[in-house]
Amino acid sequence: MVTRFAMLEHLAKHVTNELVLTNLKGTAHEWHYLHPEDSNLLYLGLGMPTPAALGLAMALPHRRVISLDGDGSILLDMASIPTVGQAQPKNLTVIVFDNECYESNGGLPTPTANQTDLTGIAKACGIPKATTASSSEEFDEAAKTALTTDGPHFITAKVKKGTKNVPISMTYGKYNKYVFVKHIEKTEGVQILSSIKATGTGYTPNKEYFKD
Amino acid sequence: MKKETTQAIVEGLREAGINFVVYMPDSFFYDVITTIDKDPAFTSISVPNESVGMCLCAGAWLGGKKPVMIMENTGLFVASNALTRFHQPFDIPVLMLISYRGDAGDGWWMIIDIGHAFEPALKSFGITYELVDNPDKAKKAIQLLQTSAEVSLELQAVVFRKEGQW
Repeated sequence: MVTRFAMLEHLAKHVTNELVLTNLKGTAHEWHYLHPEDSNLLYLGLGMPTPAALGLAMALPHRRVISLDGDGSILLDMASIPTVGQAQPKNLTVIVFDNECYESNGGLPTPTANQTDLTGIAKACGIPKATTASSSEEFDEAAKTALTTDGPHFITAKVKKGTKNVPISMTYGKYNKYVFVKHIEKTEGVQILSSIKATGTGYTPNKEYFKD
Repeated sequence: MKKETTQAIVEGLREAGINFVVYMPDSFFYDVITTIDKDPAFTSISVPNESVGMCLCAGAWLGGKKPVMIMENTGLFVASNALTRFHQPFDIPVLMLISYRGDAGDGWWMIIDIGHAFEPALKSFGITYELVDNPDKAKKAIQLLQTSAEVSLELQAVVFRKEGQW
């Protein structure tokens, strides 16, 4: 079994302008070390990266979005998987790094250490392009396919426990979100923040703001 | 729900610029949901629980949409982890439309305790909310709280009371 870091190294080779949302701790630090871009939104809590990535993918259907999730995280709220299956976003790739445990708080096992098969669940939820990658080569091929063909894609990446000793990434959510949103505003030509301006008589929507 | 309330909610959402609707199916909002599902002005999707729904709204907001989450008040408790560990720490605003189950006059015994806990929970989470008991107020509250959401980057809730609307 390989490390998550080794698989992320392969992913980093294939990522260009994709928007990447990650779960907590090791995945966030390793990914930001390998791919330190404004297009990363790091450190989403358990159960949150994949549904947030789905919302982003639906909002920007022409832009590829990647969720870097974990087994403990996606198991906390598996309702996100049938929601992806229902929405069928062509531009979404969900990668679940499955180390079969809750590593960040001691390493007690998750159900995937026993019978639970996340790829099987994804397929049963209407995501036929779901696959399990257990080696670097399998992951590299799966990631390449996911980022060059229509999805939704779901990759269960079986990894061994352990986090690479990399510098801790910036984890202050408000600042990370600000940078991420400014990146989307710039690359998509949309305005998200500061969409309201104060006037003498109240607030005016941003359309008026740009007329000034 | 009364026909005029449904109309006021849909018009209020449209006029507030809302274009992304996530809902957990709810009997109070049934007519609103079925109206929105047919309206091309909105992208709409149902979710199996409110936590997934609120995260979906957050992602949509990050992508430039103006989202709303439609749910019953029990959903506030289901979504509480996401609200306090995602939306609030990251400053991600989402407007919520919430039906007030357990409100005075609600005839279902199982929902009474949710009614007791609901407003204290909103207050403890620091969520700004407006209680609505008629269609005119519904439209206005949606518009005002969406403006507040965009300015403050905070969660806002329009809460629909039973009295006068069910």
